[in-house]
Amino acid sequence: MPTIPTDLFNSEEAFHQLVRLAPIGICVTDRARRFVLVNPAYCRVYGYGEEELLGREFTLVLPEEDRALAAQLHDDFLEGRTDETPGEWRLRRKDGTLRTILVDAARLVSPSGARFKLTTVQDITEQKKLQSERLAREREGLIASVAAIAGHDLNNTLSTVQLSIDFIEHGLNNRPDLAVLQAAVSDIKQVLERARALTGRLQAIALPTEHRRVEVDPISECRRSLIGFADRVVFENGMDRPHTILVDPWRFADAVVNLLTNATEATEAAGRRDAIILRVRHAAPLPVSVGGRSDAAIAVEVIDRGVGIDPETIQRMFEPGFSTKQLNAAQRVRGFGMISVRLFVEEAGGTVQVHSVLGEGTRIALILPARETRAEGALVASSTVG
Amino acid sequence: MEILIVDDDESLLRSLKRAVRLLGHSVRAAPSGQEACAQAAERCPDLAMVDLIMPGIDGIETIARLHRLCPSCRFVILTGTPQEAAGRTLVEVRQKPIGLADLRELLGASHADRPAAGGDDVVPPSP
Repeated sequence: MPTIPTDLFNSEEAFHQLVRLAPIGICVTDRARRFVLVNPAYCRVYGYGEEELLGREFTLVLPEEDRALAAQLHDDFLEGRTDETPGEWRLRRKDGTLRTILVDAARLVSPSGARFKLTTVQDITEQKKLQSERLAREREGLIASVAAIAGHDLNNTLSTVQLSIDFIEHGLNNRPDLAVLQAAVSDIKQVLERARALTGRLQAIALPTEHRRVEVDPISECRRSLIGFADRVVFENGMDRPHTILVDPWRFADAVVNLLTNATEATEAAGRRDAIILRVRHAAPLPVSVGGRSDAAIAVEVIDRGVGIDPETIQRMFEPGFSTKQLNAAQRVRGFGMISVRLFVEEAGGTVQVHSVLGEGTRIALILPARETRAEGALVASSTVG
Repeated sequence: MEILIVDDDESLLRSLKRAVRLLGHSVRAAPSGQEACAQAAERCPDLAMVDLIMPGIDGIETIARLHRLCPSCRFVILTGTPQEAAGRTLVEVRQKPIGLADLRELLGASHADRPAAGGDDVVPPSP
């Protein structure tokens, strides 16, 4: 192995030291799944002594329910049937505590041709905790913003209803001008319709997301979101193989409508009449995360020829920990949409990509983990319209 | 009295117009601060009711511009979020939802309490 001149690697012992002192957990297992090497860092991660592990099957360090799957993955990897490694994984240490670890692997072949699996593990429990705390804080900010919007919009609704009813009452007691009374009634109906949509949105935010996730067909969910944008948005289906995404359908629809609304306003602000494009296409798979076993990803894109977004605003929209308290009142009430979109995508295990040129247009892509639909799986579009 | 109503909510704008007309005043409506200034430049209103939270320039900025155009106009902020106005303006703030009776009282008060023109304060602080 090429090295620069130094006496560090003069002896074979030096490479043993490398493995022994590495701050990352390292183990080597054979085709019978037995530990043939474990370094001290590995032992620390799992909470076992070296003598408890060597020669034993590696699955002993895993909870009962994970063993079969882990064994399968191990054998598949070793035999070259897959290059996939578990990525994030949950483990139970010997003392019973739960940790989250990041796992990676490589194949080794000895001089005699025997195959071995080299595995590295890192304890990322603290990082995951910080991340979920950040998400919780942002969720709080989001709820505060939703409350502000709800207050604002419901107040306007109540005002319209109150004034219209007072007006109708006055008309009934005096000289009724029927045409004007009709107009008042029509206004009441219009704002009640809007209020109904708002309560739907509130409910979507109020319930814990995990309980509301279902496998949905992104194509039909997107088509549903087009209602109301019919003449301004063109839908492009770029999928040649059907996939499903695991999301809360209300929040998915909300995110798409948010993007379409922003795109519409941006296009109008630019004084253009170009159609907005809503496209669903395949995307490069995302890094695997805990619990998720997606093999694919899709992109839901909204492309407009509007005024564009300046780089500073884009950065602020996606700053980790960007608090909605930093927005002024008008921004909180009107501009929280992107934060809501980002939170939704993050909680679904995806990412948001924004590309914008001031004066020319914007492309926003929601990359979401997806599963290829198996032929035998029945695909039922969710009913988001209640 | 000549009234100007400024609010980005179209349904509410219509309802307010109807109600103000019913109370016997002439009324114009603008869906934004910019539009309101354009209308005020043509003819000054006696009273402007302005929403606080609007896209583009907000209520407080709108009133500042309108006051420059029409120094003797009385201003009222009509908002669902009065706490957002706190500490930012001396203009009278009324909370939505507002009904016909409140509106009558608000506009009726205008006849009696019109302040003298001039000065930077648009109107004395509300009690």
